[in-house]
Amino acid sequence: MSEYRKSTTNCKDRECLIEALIEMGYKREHIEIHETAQQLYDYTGRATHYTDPKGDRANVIVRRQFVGGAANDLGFKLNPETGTYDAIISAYDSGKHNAQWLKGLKVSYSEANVIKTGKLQGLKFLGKVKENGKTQIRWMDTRL
Amino acid sequence: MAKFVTATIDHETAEVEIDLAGYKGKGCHALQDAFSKALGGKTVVEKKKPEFNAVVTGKTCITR
Repeated sequence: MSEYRKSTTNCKDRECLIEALIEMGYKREHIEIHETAQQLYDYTGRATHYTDPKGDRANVIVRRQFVGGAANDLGFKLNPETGTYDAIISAYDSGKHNAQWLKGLKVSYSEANVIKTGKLQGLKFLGKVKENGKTQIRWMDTRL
Repeated sequence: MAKFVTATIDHETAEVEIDLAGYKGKGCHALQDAFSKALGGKTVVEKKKPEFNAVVTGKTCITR
């Protein structure tokens, strides 16, 4: 089935969302970024209308040829009410992009987000370590 | 002496903990505010947790 479903995410920062998608295995050059949400297509190349009668649209898109075999486009649409990006995932692809995948995306997004925040605060990034089910990110404060 | 900031992200819950051990006053509040905003406006709670770091003790800011 190529029916699209919408899932809320905690992603507010577009660049961090893109970093998270890269961390989840997608290449930056395969991630489309649109100020105005663009149409999503199913595995046959047909424009779909499941989440919106005017067409399923997204601002951040991974086209189906980069998602996997017989896949549909993967999209993230900015929700103007919440300021966060809603994930638009087809029922067919929800086997791959399931709750576990969304949890991984959330973790990767948080990593990108705190790294960006540390940088904006002028902290010197020392590194990122993943162990025992946790990611530890460390900075040195050289501002003083 | 240089200060260190550590963020710990739990892969199961996706909760983020920011350790600001050694910070106090304006410096602590500025970082608290910045990370709090980045983490979706969640309140950053100050919590004394001296056992968190055996070398550098002080206040630890935890986001929930």
